Amino acid sequence: MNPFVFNAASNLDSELLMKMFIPDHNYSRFIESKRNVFFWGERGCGKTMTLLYNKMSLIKKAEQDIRKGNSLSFIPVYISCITPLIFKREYLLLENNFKAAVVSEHYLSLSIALSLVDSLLELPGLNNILDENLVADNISYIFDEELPSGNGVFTRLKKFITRKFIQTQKEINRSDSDAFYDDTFTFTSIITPLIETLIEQKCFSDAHFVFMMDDAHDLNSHQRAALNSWIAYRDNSAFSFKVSAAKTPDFSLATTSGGAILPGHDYIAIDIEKPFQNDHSAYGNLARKIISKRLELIDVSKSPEEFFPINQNMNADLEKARIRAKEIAIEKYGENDKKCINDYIYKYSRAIYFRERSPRANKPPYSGFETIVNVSSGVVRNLLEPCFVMYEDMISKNEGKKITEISPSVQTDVIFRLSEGFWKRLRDGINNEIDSCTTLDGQHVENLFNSLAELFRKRLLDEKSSEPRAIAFTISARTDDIMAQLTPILNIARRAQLLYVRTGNAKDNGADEDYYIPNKMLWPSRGLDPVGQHARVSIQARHLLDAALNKTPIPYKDNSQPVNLQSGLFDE
Amino acid sequence: MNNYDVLISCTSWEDRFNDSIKYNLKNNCIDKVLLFGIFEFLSRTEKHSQEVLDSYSEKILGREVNYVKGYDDVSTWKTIEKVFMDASIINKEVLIDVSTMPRYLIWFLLHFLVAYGNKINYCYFSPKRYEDCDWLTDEPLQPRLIFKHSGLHLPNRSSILIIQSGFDVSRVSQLIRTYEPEKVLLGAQIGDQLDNLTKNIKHHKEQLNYQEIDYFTINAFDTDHGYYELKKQIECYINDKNILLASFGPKVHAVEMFRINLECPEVGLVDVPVRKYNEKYSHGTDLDHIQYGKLI
Repeated sequence: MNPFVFNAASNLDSELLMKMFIPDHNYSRFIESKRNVFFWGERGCGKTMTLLYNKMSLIKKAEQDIRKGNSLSFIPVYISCITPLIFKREYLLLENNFKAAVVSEHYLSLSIALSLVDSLLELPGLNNILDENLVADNISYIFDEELPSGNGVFTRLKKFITRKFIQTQKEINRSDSDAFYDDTFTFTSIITPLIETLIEQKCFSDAHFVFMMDDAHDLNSHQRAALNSWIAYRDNSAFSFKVSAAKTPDFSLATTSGGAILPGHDYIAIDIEKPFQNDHSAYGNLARKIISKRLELIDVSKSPEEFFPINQNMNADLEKARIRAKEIAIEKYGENDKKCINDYIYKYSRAIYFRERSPRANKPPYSGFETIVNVSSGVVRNLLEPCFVMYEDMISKNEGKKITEISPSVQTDVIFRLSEGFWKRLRDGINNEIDSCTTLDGQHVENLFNSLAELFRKRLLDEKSSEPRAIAFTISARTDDIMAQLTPILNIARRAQLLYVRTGNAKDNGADEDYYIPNKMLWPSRGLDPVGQHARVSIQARHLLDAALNKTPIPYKDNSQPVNLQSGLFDE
Repeated sequence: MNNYDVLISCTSWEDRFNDSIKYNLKNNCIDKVLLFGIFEFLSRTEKHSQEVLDSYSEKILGREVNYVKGYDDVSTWKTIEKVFMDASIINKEVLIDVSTMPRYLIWFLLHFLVAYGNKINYCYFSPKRYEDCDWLTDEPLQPRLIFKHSGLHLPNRSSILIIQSGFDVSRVSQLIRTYEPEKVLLGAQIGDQLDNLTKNIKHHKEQLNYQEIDYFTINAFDTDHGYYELKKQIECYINDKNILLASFGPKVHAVEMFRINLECPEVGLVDVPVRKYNEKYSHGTDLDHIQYGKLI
């Protein structure tokens, strides 16, 4: 087994997922609150893992409650919004928009109902502590239909809901364009009565139902509006929603009645990546824990640094560069100014390494755990992918022998391949992979990244640069008309995960500002340092736009802003 | 020589469009020709369309091309429905030439042909020669489940994507990103076309950033047009997974996917339309190896 699997978490075996998850930032406090919560985060940042981990934790707690004879406190219900059912589009053929909304909500309500029943079926012994016959009678009465036969009320209810799903789809898929299914459910006609039926039972009397809606950005507009309307319910005593979604500019918070849900008032908004964005040491520690856990799965008792050893020549050359930086700093500040010396070493030692390499030398042998963490740009999926590919390459080379480390040469090779893959994507045109991105848009994005690479290279090689390894940027001198042209280009790059946007303090006034980090996996192929430093280059909007549209080089002057609020990736 | 009430074809810049109409009209007894065209490609197809309209004006239903909007499948669906009603394509013996049709159009047309009780025969003309291009299609749109043939799914099941691969890895990648399937079964066409098997699999392995891919071989140019191999793959998962089928290879296989959907409505059809096609990729028409089949 390759321990660095990074597939969609919803496809992982639950036991394996529990073993892999790092519970440091598990958001349990929010999940176990009765408030509605939105978890925002990029694709691959761990939203699904977080929800599934919490679901399983709450299931375990519920199991304990059952064993102890206590009433249940939380019933977690995980609902994936990326099933083919959610992507069904027959509702678009209905001339009547109301019917389209009804059938869309019906699918979503049934999905929640089925997930609720699945969660209840995961609780062994539940049937011993409730009056199954009474629950079955009540459900039959509510739905005005006898439940199918079966072993236990929830199995019977599952059959009932499954049948409704199939009936609906068969009916909607009938050949006539306006085929409609009349016997639809809404949240209030299926979920609310089910909850009310359950809480009549002593074991559910204090239960709170936690509906975890994963990848809600994929819901259709009617379903989003319906979900937002449910979130807008004032009474959260019996249930609440924990919604995960990618923050997209078009994610609507409108309800079916035309209002909108408000953060703070209707829900709490959590940026799931934020703890790691402004505190690099936190991400470094998380990355180390993730990789350590994965190594445990294959019985390797080595640290991540030992498993991914750095190329010895690179290590030695980096050390030489560090000594050289120290000498320069002492010359400049004297031996006693330790702070200035340390700052200088931090800023310049790696730059010296990259700068003083012979122009004829090959690109640096990128390797070592620190490099792997840095090229991931703070996104967990980006961390696991190179590890996965490296492990596969080692298996091919080792012919069945146990893998106890990834050789530096394999690491270097994989990092170059993946890095070159990013540039190939740009050359081929990301219009190949991004919806509504034209060939011209794709060229603009490629132009922009070429110009950024050139700018960062000039900075790295310039001895006088005050922040030579800055590989993040802010946008200055914004005007409405320039940003109207630039923003779509940046958004396409963001959708292609070539660019990440973070929010942090601006140095001059301490206010928050957005800054942009190109995916650091781009840089090895260009011989740049993916480790970067805590500084942002301020670039004028018109220069970025000119680079994108006309391939004009971004003017280089030393205008970076050091950001002293952050610690290094592995600094404590 | 066979008798057909209607021949349905789709306008194209490819030689195959004109050649196949000429061939079919010469070698069969065909009462009428129903032409569809993609509105967004009008400027590139109108020369060929005009030639056909001029040459066979008596045969062409309405003496015009029925244009559908390629990027708006609701409008396309409704246009086809109206054309079928207006032209009474009901209970007819139909020959549908899928050579130059986008997959969504093949599947939409088959839907209405079946719905209106027509007898459906299909044909496919290969190009005489393929250009070794570095791209075939560009600017893919979001994947779309095909109206009325989207399958019967359950939300508590994981998904399996079964894809007849072509040379456009980007469209496969779009599907994987959208549906996050548990597994992808990639059917590679055997044969010599562009070093099919080797080139195809290598291409996908290199470019797809995805781990759970199983490969199988398929021959769309066999007598069953790949039907039995596809059926075999589906049978392993039909009882406990949501299954989606996508076709990016030879188009006769898309027809067989439709057949499978009719037999197993649980299995859904999905397409990834594109905005751009490489016009240089095919040349001439191979009249020696025409594929024929009968759906109903």
